Amino acid sequence: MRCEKYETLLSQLADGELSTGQELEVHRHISSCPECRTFYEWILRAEELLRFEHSRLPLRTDITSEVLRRLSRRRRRVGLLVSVSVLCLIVSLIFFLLRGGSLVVEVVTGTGAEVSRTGIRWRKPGAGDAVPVGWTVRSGNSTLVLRGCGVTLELREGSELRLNLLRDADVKVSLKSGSLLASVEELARCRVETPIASVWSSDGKFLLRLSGEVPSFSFLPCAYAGEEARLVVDVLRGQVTVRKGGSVRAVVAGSRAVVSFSVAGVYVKAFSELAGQKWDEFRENRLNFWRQMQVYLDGLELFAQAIELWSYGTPRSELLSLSRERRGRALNGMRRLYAKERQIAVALDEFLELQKKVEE
Amino acid sequence: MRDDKSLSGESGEIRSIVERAQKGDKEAFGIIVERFQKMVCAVARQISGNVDDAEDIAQEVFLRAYRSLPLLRDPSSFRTWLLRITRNVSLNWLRDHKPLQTMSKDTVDALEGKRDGQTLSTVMEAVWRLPEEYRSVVALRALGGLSYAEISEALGISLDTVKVRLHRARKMLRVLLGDILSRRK
Repeated sequence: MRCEKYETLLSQLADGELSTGQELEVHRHISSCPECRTFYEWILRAEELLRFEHSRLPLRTDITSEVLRRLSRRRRRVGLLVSVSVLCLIVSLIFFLLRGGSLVVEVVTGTGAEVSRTGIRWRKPGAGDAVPVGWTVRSGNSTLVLRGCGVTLELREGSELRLNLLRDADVKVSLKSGSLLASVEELARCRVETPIASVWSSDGKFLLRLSGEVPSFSFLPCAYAGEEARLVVDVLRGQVTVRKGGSVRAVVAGSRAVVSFSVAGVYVKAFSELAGQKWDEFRENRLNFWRQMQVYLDGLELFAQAIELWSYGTPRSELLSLSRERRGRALNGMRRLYAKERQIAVALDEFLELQKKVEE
Repeated sequence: MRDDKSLSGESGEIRSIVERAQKGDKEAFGIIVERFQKMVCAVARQISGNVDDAEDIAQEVFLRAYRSLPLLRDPSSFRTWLLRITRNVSLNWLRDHKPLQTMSKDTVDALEGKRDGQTLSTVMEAVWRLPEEYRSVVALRALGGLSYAEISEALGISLDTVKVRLHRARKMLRVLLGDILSRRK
Protein backbone atom coordinates (compact mmCIF):
# COMPACT_ATOMS: atom_id res chain seq x y z
CA MET A 1 0.00 0.00 0.00
CA ARG A 2 2.82 2.28 0.95
CA CYS A 3 4.65 1.49 -2.28
CA GLU A 4 1.58 2.20 -4.39
CA LYS A 5 1.71 5.78 -3.13
CA TYR A 6 5.29 6.14 -4.31
CA GLU A 7 5.03 4.09 -7.43
CA THR A 8 3.64 6.90 -9.58
CA LEU A 9 6.22 9.30 -8.17
CA LEU A 10 9.15 7.15 -9.25
CA SER A 11 8.75 8.11 -12.91
CA GLN A 12 8.60 11.77 -11.97
CA LEU A 13 11.70 11.39 -9.81
CA ALA A 14 13.58 9.79 -12.68
CA ASP A 15 12.50 12.68 -14.93
CA GLY A 16 13.43 15.36 -12.39
CA GLU A 17 9.85 16.59 -12.21
CA LEU A 18 9.41 16.53 -8.43
CA SER A 19 9.81 19.40 -6.01
CA THR A 20 12.76 19.26 -3.63
CA GLY A 21 10.54 18.19 -0.74
CA GLN A 22 8.96 15.40 -2.74
CA GLU A 23 12.34 14.28 -4.03
CA LEU A 24 13.67 13.90 -0.49
CA GLU A 25 10.59 11.98 0.55
CA VAL A 26 10.77 9.57 -2.40
CA HIS A 27 14.52 9.11 -1.94
CA ARG A 28 13.92 8.25 1.71
CA HIS A 29 11.38 5.66 0.63
CA ILE A 30 13.51 3.98 -2.03
CA SER A 31 16.47 3.77 0.33
CA SER A 32 14.35 1.53 2.50
CA CYS A 33 12.34 -0.26 -0.21
CA PRO A 34 14.38 -2.54 -2.51
CA GLU A 35 11.46 -3.10 -4.86
CA CYS A 36 10.91 0.58 -5.59
CA ARG A 37 14.63 1.19 -5.82
CA THR A 38 14.88 -1.54 -8.44
CA PHE A 39 12.06 0.02 -10.48
CA TYR A 40 13.61 3.47 -10.22
CA GLU A 41 16.99 2.20 -11.39
CA TRP A 42 15.27 0.21 -14.10
CA ILE A 43 13.61 3.38 -15.48
CA LEU A 44 16.92 5.21 -15.63
CA ARG A 45 18.64 2.28 -17.26
CA ALA A 46 15.92 1.63 -19.84
CA GLU A 47 15.91 5.23 -21.02
CA GLU A 48 19.66 5.39 -21.11
CA LEU A 49 19.67 2.24 -23.21
CA LEU A 50 16.97 3.59 -25.53
CA ARG A 51 19.00 6.73 -26.15
CA PHE A 52 22.10 4.66 -26.63
CA GLU A 53 20.42 2.47 -29.23
CA HIS A 54 19.29 5.47 -31.24
CA SER A 55 22.68 7.13 -31.00
CA ARG A 56 24.24 3.99 -32.48
CA LEU A 57 22.30 4.43 -35.68
CA PRO A 58 24.28 6.59 -38.09
CA LEU A 59 22.55 9.10 -40.35
CA ARG A 60 22.92 7.85 -43.88
CA THR A 61 21.94 11.03 -45.67
CA ASP A 62 23.02 14.63 -45.35
CA ILE A 63 19.67 15.87 -44.14
CA THR A 64 20.71 19.53 -44.00
CA SER A 65 21.86 19.66 -47.63
CA GLU A 66 18.88 17.67 -48.79
CA VAL A 67 16.38 19.93 -46.99
CA LEU A 68 18.02 23.11 -48.29
CA ARG A 69 18.11 21.66 -51.81
CA ARG A 70 14.42 20.81 -51.66
CA LEU A 71 13.58 24.26 -50.31
CA SER A 72 15.34 25.91 -53.27
CA ARG A 73 13.57 23.61 -55.71
CA ARG A 74 10.24 24.42 -54.07
CA ARG A 75 10.89 28.14 -54.35
CA ARG A 76 11.56 27.77 -58.08
CA ARG A 77 8.37 25.76 -58.42
CA VAL A 78 6.37 28.38 -56.49
CA GLY A 79 7.89 31.09 -58.70
CA LEU A 80 6.75 29.23 -61.81
CA LEU A 81 3.31 28.71 -60.31
CA VAL A 82 2.99 32.41 -59.50
CA SER A 83 4.02 33.35 -63.05
CA VAL A 84 1.45 31.01 -64.55
CA SER A 85 -1.22 32.27 -62.14
CA VAL A 86 -0.49 35.90 -62.99
CA LEU A 87 -0.67 35.08 -66.69
CA CYS A 88 -4.01 33.33 -66.21
CA LEU A 89 -5.26 36.28 -64.20
CA ILE A 90 -4.30 38.74 -66.91
CA VAL A 91 -5.94 36.61 -69.60
CA SER A 92 -9.09 36.31 -67.46
CA LEU A 93 -9.11 40.05 -66.83
CA ILE A 94 -8.78 40.84 -70.53
CA PHE A 95 -11.54 38.36 -71.28
CA PHE A 96 -13.73 39.90 -68.57
CA LEU A 97 -13.16 43.44 -69.78
CA LEU A 98 -13.92 42.49 -73.36
CA ARG A 99 -17.00 40.60 -72.33
CA GLY A 100 -18.13 43.19 -69.83
CA GLY A 101 -19.73 40.83 -67.33
CA SER A 102 -23.15 39.27 -67.17
CA LEU A 103 -26.03 38.51 -64.87
CA VAL A 104 -27.18 34.99 -64.35
CA VAL A 105 -30.85 34.28 -64.76
CA GLU A 106 -31.76 32.31 -61.72
CA VAL A 107 -35.47 31.82 -61.89
CA VAL A 108 -37.89 32.04 -64.74
CA THR A 109 -41.56 31.72 -64.06
CA GLY A 110 -44.40 31.81 -66.55
CA THR A 111 -43.76 32.18 -70.26
CA GLY A 112 -42.76 34.73 -72.82
CA ALA A 113 -39.50 35.91 -71.30
CA GLU A 114 -36.76 36.59 -73.79
CA VAL A 115 -33.40 38.25 -74.08
CA SER A 116 -32.44 40.10 -77.22
CA ARG A 117 -30.12 42.60 -78.73
CA THR A 118 -30.82 45.04 -81.56
CA GLY A 119 -31.18 42.97 -84.67
CA ILE A 120 -30.50 39.73 -82.85
CA ARG A 121 -32.99 37.62 -81.02
CA TRP A 122 -31.66 35.37 -78.38
CA ARG A 123 -33.26 32.21 -77.21
CA LYS A 124 -35.62 32.24 -74.28
CA PRO A 125 -33.70 32.40 -71.03
CA GLY A 126 -33.65 29.43 -68.72
CA ALA A 127 -32.45 28.98 -65.18
CA GLY A 128 -28.70 29.34 -64.98
CA ASP A 129 -28.37 31.28 -68.25
CA ALA A 130 -26.07 34.28 -68.40
CA VAL A 131 -27.41 37.55 -69.69
CA PRO A 132 -24.63 39.50 -71.40
CA VAL A 133 -24.14 43.19 -70.95
CA GLY A 134 -25.95 45.47 -73.34
CA TRP A 135 -28.72 43.01 -73.98
CA THR A 136 -32.35 43.76 -73.36
CA VAL A 137 -34.41 41.54 -71.15
CA ARG A 138 -38.16 41.25 -71.55
CA SER A 139 -40.22 39.56 -68.92
CA GLY A 140 -43.16 38.70 -71.17
CA ASN A 141 -46.20 37.67 -69.20
CA SER A 142 -44.17 36.40 -66.27
CA THR A 143 -41.86 37.59 -63.57
CA LEU A 144 -38.21 37.19 -64.35
CA VAL A 145 -35.60 37.15 -61.61
CA LEU A 146 -32.03 38.02 -62.46
CA ARG A 147 -29.32 37.54 -59.96
CA GLY A 148 -25.64 38.33 -60.17
CA CYS A 149 -22.90 40.69 -59.07
CA GLY A 150 -24.55 40.87 -55.69
CA VAL A 151 -27.74 42.31 -57.12
CA THR A 152 -31.14 40.76 -57.58
CA LEU A 153 -33.50 42.24 -60.11
CA GLU A 154 -37.10 41.19 -60.27
CA LEU A 155 -38.60 42.12 -63.56
CA ARG A 156 -42.36 42.33 -63.26
CA GLU A 157 -44.79 41.08 -65.85
CA GLY A 158 -44.75 43.11 -69.06
CA SER A 159 -41.47 44.84 -68.21
CA GLU A 160 -38.45 45.35 -70.33
CA LEU A 161 -35.04 46.56 -69.31
CA ARG A 162 -31.58 46.99 -70.63
CA LEU A 163 -28.67 45.85 -68.53
CA ASN A 164 -25.37 47.54 -68.29
CA LEU A 165 -23.01 46.04 -65.77
CA LEU A 166 -20.17 47.94 -64.35
CA ARG A 167 -17.90 46.40 -61.74
CA ASP A 168 -18.90 44.21 -58.85
CA ALA A 169 -22.07 45.64 -57.42
CA ASP A 170 -22.46 48.47 -59.88
CA VAL A 171 -25.42 47.77 -62.08
CA LYS A 172 -26.93 50.28 -64.41
CA VAL A 173 -30.43 49.43 -65.42
CA SER A 174 -32.50 51.32 -67.98
CA LEU A 175 -36.12 50.48 -67.55
CA LYS A 176 -37.99 50.83 -70.79
CA SER A 177 -41.41 49.80 -69.61
CA GLY A 178 -43.13 47.97 -66.81
CA SER A 179 -41.81 47.86 -63.25
CA LEU A 180 -38.76 46.59 -61.54
CA LEU A 181 -37.78 45.60 -58.04
CA ALA A 182 -34.14 45.50 -57.18
CA SER A 183 -32.42 44.40 -54.03
CA VAL A 184 -28.81 44.19 -53.18
CA GLU A 185 -27.46 41.17 -51.44
CA GLU A 186 -24.19 39.54 -50.67
CA LEU A 187 -22.66 42.89 -49.98
CA ALA A 188 -19.82 41.24 -48.23
CA ARG A 189 -18.45 40.71 -51.70
CA CYS A 190 -18.18 44.42 -52.29
CA ARG A 191 -14.91 45.90 -51.32
CA VAL A 192 -15.53 49.37 -50.06
CA GLU A 193 -13.73 52.09 -48.23
CA THR A 194 -16.50 53.98 -46.55
CA PRO A 195 -19.96 52.97 -45.47
CA ILE A 196 -21.72 55.06 -48.03
CA ALA A 197 -24.34 53.98 -50.50
CA SER A 198 -25.83 56.36 -52.97
CA VAL A 199 -28.92 56.12 -55.10
CA TRP A 200 -29.68 58.43 -57.95
CA SER A 201 -33.04 58.18 -59.46
CA SER A 202 -34.98 59.81 -62.21
CA ASP A 203 -38.14 58.60 -63.75
CA GLY A 204 -37.80 55.49 -65.80
CA LYS A 205 -34.10 55.10 -65.15
CA PHE A 206 -31.97 54.61 -62.14
CA LEU A 207 -28.47 53.74 -61.25
CA LEU A 208 -27.50 51.79 -58.15
CA ARG A 209 -24.01 52.52 -57.11
CA LEU A 210 -22.68 50.88 -54.01
CA SER A 211 -19.46 52.39 -52.98
CA GLY A 212 -19.78 51.45 -49.34
CA GLU A 213 -19.28 48.20 -47.59
CA VAL A 214 -22.22 47.60 -45.46
CA PRO A 215 -22.91 44.03 -44.53
CA SER A 216 -25.98 44.96 -42.56
CA PHE A 217 -27.20 47.26 -45.28
CA SER A 218 -29.72 46.50 -47.98
CA PHE A 219 -32.28 48.47 -49.87
CA LEU A 220 -35.12 47.85 -52.17
CA PRO A 221 -35.54 50.48 -54.82
CA CYS A 222 -38.64 50.31 -56.96
CA ALA A 223 -39.14 52.21 -60.17
CA TYR A 224 -42.05 52.60 -62.53
CA ALA A 225 -41.26 53.63 -66.08
CA GLY A 226 -42.92 56.70 -67.43
CA GLU A 227 -44.39 57.59 -64.07
CA GLU A 228 -43.26 59.55 -61.13
CA ALA A 229 -40.31 57.61 -59.79
CA ARG A 230 -40.65 56.37 -56.25
CA LEU A 231 -37.79 55.16 -54.20
CA VAL A 232 -38.34 53.01 -51.15
CA VAL A 233 -35.42 52.40 -48.90
CA ASP A 234 -36.71 49.81 -46.54
CA VAL A 235 -34.00 49.79 -43.91
CA LEU A 236 -34.67 53.43 -43.39
CA ARG A 237 -38.24 52.73 -42.42
CA GLY A 238 -39.16 55.74 -44.48
CA GLN A 239 -40.03 56.68 -48.02
CA VAL A 240 -38.64 59.29 -50.29
CA THR A 241 -40.69 60.54 -53.17
CA VAL A 242 -38.86 61.89 -56.15
CA ARG A 243 -40.88 63.92 -58.54
CA LYS A 244 -40.54 63.50 -62.25
CA GLY A 245 -37.26 64.91 -63.42
CA GLY A 246 -35.94 65.17 -59.88
CA SER A 247 -33.03 63.38 -58.35
CA VAL A 248 -32.12 62.18 -54.92
CA ARG A 249 -28.94 61.35 -53.14
CA ALA A 250 -29.03 59.11 -50.11
CA VAL A 251 -26.20 58.64 -47.69
CA VAL A 252 -26.85 55.64 -45.57
CA ALA A 253 -25.61 55.62 -42.02
CA GLY A 254 -26.26 52.37 -40.25
CA SER A 255 -29.94 51.71 -40.28
CA ARG A 256 -30.88 55.27 -41.25
CA ALA A 257 -30.18 57.46 -44.21
CA VAL A 258 -29.47 61.09 -44.79
CA VAL A 259 -31.30 62.12 -47.91
CA SER A 260 -30.86 65.26 -49.94
CA PHE A 261 -33.17 66.37 -52.75
CA SER A 262 -32.29 68.50 -55.69
CA VAL A 263 -35.87 69.73 -55.89
CA ALA A 264 -36.49 70.13 -52.19
CA GLY A 265 -33.39 72.01 -51.22
CA VAL A 266 -35.17 73.87 -48.48
CA TYR A 267 -34.74 70.92 -46.19
CA VAL A 268 -31.29 69.96 -47.20
CA LYS A 269 -29.34 72.30 -44.97
CA ALA A 270 -30.99 71.47 -41.67
CA PHE A 271 -30.92 67.80 -42.47
CA SER A 272 -27.25 67.89 -43.36
CA GLU A 273 -26.29 69.71 -40.20
CA LEU A 274 -27.81 67.09 -38.02
CA ALA A 275 -26.38 64.43 -40.22
CA GLY A 276 -22.92 65.94 -40.01
CA GLN A 277 -23.03 66.16 -36.25
CA LYS A 278 -24.23 62.61 -35.86
CA TRP A 279 -22.10 61.37 -38.68
CA ASP A 280 -18.85 62.14 -36.92
CA GLU A 281 -19.96 60.12 -33.95
CA PHE A 282 -21.22 57.34 -36.15
CA ARG A 283 -18.11 57.33 -38.28
CA GLU A 284 -15.89 56.85 -35.25
CA ASN A 285 -18.02 53.93 -34.15
CA ARG A 286 -17.99 52.50 -37.61
CA LEU A 287 -14.23 52.67 -37.75
CA ASN A 288 -14.05 50.80 -34.47
CA PHE A 289 -16.43 48.27 -35.90
CA TRP A 290 -14.25 47.66 -38.91
CA ARG A 291 -11.23 47.31 -36.72
CA GLN A 292 -13.12 44.60 -34.88
CA MET A 293 -14.17 43.04 -38.15
CA GLN A 294 -10.56 42.99 -39.26
CA VAL A 295 -9.74 41.01 -36.13
CA TYR A 296 -12.52 38.64 -37.02
CA LEU A 297 -11.30 38.29 -40.59
CA ASP A 298 -7.78 37.71 -39.31
CA GLY A 299 -9.23 34.92 -37.23
CA LEU A 300 -10.92 33.42 -40.26
CA GLU A 301 -7.77 33.67 -42.27
CA LEU A 302 -5.88 31.98 -39.52
CA PHE A 303 -8.49 29.27 -39.43
CA ALA A 304 -8.11 28.75 -43.17
CA GLN A 305 -4.39 28.48 -42.70
CA ALA A 306 -5.02 26.04 -39.91
CA ILE A 307 -6.79 23.71 -42.29
CA GLU A 308 -3.66 23.64 -44.38
CA LEU A 309 -1.27 23.62 -41.50
CA TRP A 310 -3.14 21.16 -39.38
CA SER A 311 -0.95 18.34 -40.49
CA TYR A 312 2.08 20.54 -40.01
CA GLY A 313 1.76 20.25 -36.31
CA THR A 314 -0.40 23.04 -34.93
CA PRO A 315 -3.13 21.52 -32.76
CA ARG A 316 -6.53 22.09 -34.30
CA SER A 317 -8.12 22.73 -30.93
CA GLU A 318 -5.75 25.62 -30.27
CA LEU A 319 -6.51 27.30 -33.58
CA LEU A 320 -10.21 26.73 -33.25
CA SER A 321 -10.30 28.29 -29.82
CA LEU A 322 -8.24 31.22 -31.05
CA SER A 323 -10.65 31.73 -33.90
CA ARG A 324 -13.60 31.52 -31.54
CA GLU A 325 -12.06 34.05 -29.24
CA ARG A 326 -11.46 36.50 -32.05
CA ARG A 327 -14.91 35.90 -33.43
CA GLY A 328 -16.33 36.59 -30.00
CA ARG A 329 -14.52 39.90 -29.82
CA ALA A 330 -15.83 40.91 -33.24
CA LEU A 331 -19.39 40.01 -32.29
CA ASN A 332 -19.15 42.10 -29.14
CA GLY A 333 -17.94 44.98 -31.26
CA MET A 334 -20.89 44.56 -33.57
CA ARG A 335 -23.29 44.54 -30.66
CA ARG A 336 -21.82 47.75 -29.29
CA LEU A 337 -22.04 49.35 -32.70
CA TYR A 338 -25.62 48.28 -33.09
CA ALA A 339 -26.45 49.98 -29.79
CA LYS A 340 -24.83 53.19 -31.03
CA GLU A 341 -26.70 53.02 -34.27
CA ARG A 342 -29.95 52.73 -32.40
CA GLN A 343 -29.08 55.94 -30.55
CA ILE A 344 -28.51 57.67 -33.86
CA ALA A 345 -31.81 56.32 -35.16
CA VAL A 346 -33.63 57.76 -32.15
CA ALA A 347 -31.95 61.14 -32.68
CA LEU A 348 -32.98 61.15 -36.31
CA ASP A 349 -36.54 60.25 -35.38
CA GLU A 350 -36.60 63.24 -33.06
CA PHE A 351 -35.33 65.40 -35.87
CA LEU A 352 -37.98 64.16 -38.27
CA GLU A 353 -40.65 65.01 -35.70
CA LEU A 354 -39.19 68.48 -35.41
CA GLN A 355 -39.07 68.85 -39.16
CA LYS A 356 -42.69 67.83 -39.41
CA LYS A 357 -43.69 70.48 -36.89
CA VAL A 358 -41.77 73.12 -38.83
CA GLU A 359 -43.55 72.11 -42.00
CA GLU A 360 -46.91 72.38 -40.29
CA MET B 1 20.82 11.53 -28.38
CA ARG B 2 20.39 14.37 -25.98
CA ASP B 3 23.45 16.17 -27.21
CA ASP B 4 21.21 18.92 -28.44
CA LYS B 5 19.40 19.00 -25.11
CA SER B 6 22.30 21.09 -23.99
CA LEU B 7 20.79 23.71 -26.26
CA SER B 8 18.17 24.39 -23.66
CA GLY B 9 20.88 26.29 -21.91
CA GLU B 10 21.46 28.18 -25.11
CA SER B 11 17.83 29.14 -25.62
CA GLY B 12 18.85 32.71 -26.36
CA GLU B 13 21.07 31.56 -29.20
CA ILE B 14 18.44 29.19 -30.59
CA ARG B 15 15.87 31.93 -30.31
CA SER B 16 17.94 34.32 -32.36
CA ILE B 17 18.65 31.64 -34.99
CA VAL B 18 14.97 30.79 -35.20
CA GLU B 19 14.09 34.47 -35.54
CA ARG B 20 16.55 34.79 -38.39
CA ALA B 21 15.06 31.73 -40.05
CA GLN B 22 11.58 33.20 -39.62
CA LYS B 23 12.70 36.12 -41.73
CA GLY B 24 13.64 33.69 -44.50
CA ASP B 25 17.33 33.24 -43.68
CA LYS B 26 18.03 29.80 -45.13
CA GLU B 27 21.51 29.65 -43.66
CA ALA B 28 20.00 30.01 -40.20
CA PHE B 29 17.50 27.29 -41.00
CA GLY B 30 20.40 25.09 -42.10
CA ILE B 31 21.92 25.54 -38.63
CA ILE B 32 18.63 24.50 -37.08
CA VAL B 33 18.47 21.35 -39.21
CA GLU B 34 22.06 20.51 -38.36
CA ARG B 35 21.40 20.86 -34.64
CA PHE B 36 18.10 19.07 -34.36
CA GLN B 37 18.35 16.40 -37.04
CA LYS B 38 19.49 13.59 -34.74
CA MET B 39 16.75 14.29 -32.24
CA VAL B 40 14.09 14.52 -34.95
CA CYS B 41 15.30 11.30 -36.58
CA ALA B 42 15.23 9.46 -33.27
CA VAL B 43 11.73 10.59 -32.36
CA ALA B 44 10.47 9.89 -35.89
CA ARG B 45 12.09 6.46 -35.81
CA GLN B 46 10.57 5.66 -32.47
CA ILE B 47 7.06 6.90 -33.19
CA SER B 48 6.79 5.61 -36.76
CA GLY B 49 8.36 2.29 -35.88
CA ASN B 50 10.50 2.55 -38.97
CA VAL B 51 14.25 2.78 -38.98
CA ASP B 52 14.89 2.93 -42.67
CA ASP B 53 12.52 5.80 -43.53
CA ALA B 54 13.15 7.91 -40.43
CA GLU B 55 15.49 10.21 -42.33
CA ASP B 56 12.89 10.80 -45.04
CA ILE B 57 10.36 11.61 -42.35
CA ALA B 58 12.86 14.01 -40.76
CA GLN B 59 13.31 15.80 -44.08
CA GLU B 60 9.56 16.20 -44.39
CA VAL B 61 9.44 17.51 -40.80
CA PHE B 62 12.00 20.20 -41.54
CA LEU B 63 10.32 21.21 -44.81
CA ARG B 64 7.00 21.61 -43.03
CA ALA B 65 8.66 23.44 -40.19
CA TYR B 66 10.20 25.88 -42.65
CA ARG B 67 6.84 26.56 -44.25
CA SER B 68 5.11 27.01 -40.90
CA LEU B 69 7.91 28.95 -39.25
CA PRO B 70 6.25 32.36 -39.74
CA LEU B 71 3.36 31.10 -37.60
CA LEU B 72 5.56 30.21 -34.65
CA ARG B 73 4.72 32.88 -32.10
CA ASP B 74 7.28 32.06 -29.46
CA PRO B 75 10.67 31.14 -30.93
CA SER B 76 11.90 30.00 -27.51
CA SER B 77 9.43 27.10 -27.66
CA PHE B 78 10.88 25.97 -30.96
CA ARG B 79 11.96 22.52 -29.73
CA THR B 80 8.47 21.69 -28.46
CA TRP B 81 6.93 22.97 -31.67
CA LEU B 82 9.35 21.01 -33.85
CA LEU B 83 8.69 17.81 -31.94
CA ARG B 84 4.97 18.31 -32.27
CA ILE B 85 5.44 18.47 -36.04
CA THR B 86 7.69 15.42 -35.85
CA ARG B 87 5.05 13.42 -34.08
CA ASN B 88 2.32 14.46 -36.50
CA VAL B 89 4.39 13.72 -39.59
CA SER B 90 5.47 10.37 -38.13
CA LEU B 91 1.87 9.42 -37.41
CA ASN B 92 0.85 10.50 -40.92
CA TRP B 93 3.60 8.33 -42.27
CA LEU B 94 2.41 5.47 -40.11
CA ARG B 95 -1.12 5.94 -41.45
CA ASP B 96 0.06 5.89 -45.08
CA HIS B 97 2.53 3.03 -44.75
CA LYS B 98 2.60 -0.26 -43.06
CA PRO B 99 4.82 0.05 -40.02
CA LEU B 100 8.05 -1.88 -40.29
CA GLN B 101 8.26 -4.10 -37.30
CA THR B 102 11.36 -5.74 -38.59
CA MET B 103 14.63 -4.11 -39.43
CA SER B 104 16.83 -4.37 -42.46
CA LYS B 105 20.04 -6.35 -42.10
CA ASP B 106 22.15 -3.18 -42.32
CA THR B 107 20.26 -1.68 -39.42
CA VAL B 108 20.60 -4.77 -37.32
CA ASP B 109 24.31 -4.86 -38.08
CA ALA B 110 24.61 -1.24 -37.03
CA LEU B 111 22.76 -1.91 -33.83
CA GLU B 112 24.70 -4.94 -32.81
CA GLY B 113 27.02 -3.56 -30.23
CA LYS B 114 28.35 -6.97 -29.33
CA ARG B 115 27.26 -6.57 -25.74
CA ASP B 116 27.33 -10.13 -24.65
CA GLY B 117 26.48 -10.93 -28.25
CA GLN B 118 22.99 -9.47 -27.92
CA THR B 119 21.21 -7.11 -30.28
CA LEU B 120 20.71 -3.71 -28.74
CA SER B 121 17.43 -3.10 -30.50
CA THR B 122 15.42 -4.57 -27.66
CA VAL B 123 14.30 -1.37 -25.89
CA MET B 124 13.50 0.34 -29.17
CA GLU B 125 11.39 -2.59 -30.25
CA ALA B 126 9.63 -2.76 -26.90
CA VAL B 127 8.69 0.92 -27.16
CA TRP B 128 7.35 0.28 -30.66
CA ARG B 129 4.96 -2.25 -29.21
CA LEU B 130 3.37 0.32 -26.92
CA PRO B 131 0.11 1.97 -27.99
CA GLU B 132 0.71 5.22 -29.84
CA GLU B 133 -0.26 7.54 -26.97
CA TYR B 134 2.27 5.87 -24.69
CA ARG B 135 4.92 5.57 -27.40
CA SER B 136 4.72 9.30 -28.12
CA VAL B 137 5.22 10.43 -24.52
CA VAL B 138 8.17 8.08 -24.09
CA ALA B 139 9.77 9.31 -27.33
CA LEU B 140 9.22 13.00 -26.54
CA ARG B 141 10.57 12.55 -23.01
CA ALA B 142 13.49 10.20 -23.53
CA LEU B 143 14.59 11.21 -27.02
CA GLY B 144 13.21 14.71 -27.39
CA GLY B 145 14.19 15.74 -23.88
CA LEU B 146 10.93 17.59 -23.27
CA SER B 147 9.70 18.37 -19.78
CA TYR B 148 6.25 17.23 -18.69
CA ALA B 149 4.86 20.72 -19.30
CA GLU B 150 6.34 20.78 -22.79
CA ILE B 151 4.94 17.33 -23.60
CA SER B 152 1.58 18.53 -22.36
CA GLU B 153 1.80 21.50 -24.74
CA ALA B 154 3.07 19.44 -27.65
CA LEU B 155 0.36 16.82 -27.42
CA GLY B 156 -2.45 19.06 -26.24
CA ILE B 157 -3.11 16.97 -23.14
CA SER B 158 -3.12 17.80 -19.45
CA LEU B 159 -0.08 17.57 -17.20
CA ASP B 160 -1.73 14.81 -15.17
CA THR B 161 -2.36 12.79 -18.32
CA VAL B 162 1.32 13.10 -19.22
CA LYS B 163 2.30 11.77 -15.78
CA VAL B 164 -0.15 8.89 -15.99
CA ARG B 165 0.85 7.92 -19.52
CA LEU B 166 4.56 7.95 -18.76
CA HIS B 167 4.08 5.89 -15.65
CA ARG B 168 1.89 3.34 -17.41
CA ALA B 169 4.24 3.20 -20.38
CA ARG B 170 7.14 2.37 -18.09
CA LYS B 171 5.18 -0.30 -16.31
CA MET B 172 4.31 -1.89 -19.65
CA LEU B 173 7.93 -1.67 -20.76
CA ARG B 174 9.04 -3.31 -17.61
CA VAL B 175 6.81 -6.26 -18.35
CA LEU B 176 8.27 -6.46 -21.85
CA LEU B 177 11.87 -5.82 -20.94
CA GLY B 178 12.31 -6.61 -17.30
CA ASP B 179 14.16 -9.87 -17.64
CA ILE B 180 16.34 -8.76 -20.51
CA LEU B 181 17.53 -5.63 -18.75
CA SER B 182 18.15 -7.58 -15.59
CA ARG B 183 20.27 -10.05 -17.51
CA ARG B 184 22.35 -7.22 -18.89
CA LYS B 185 23.20 -5.89 -15.51
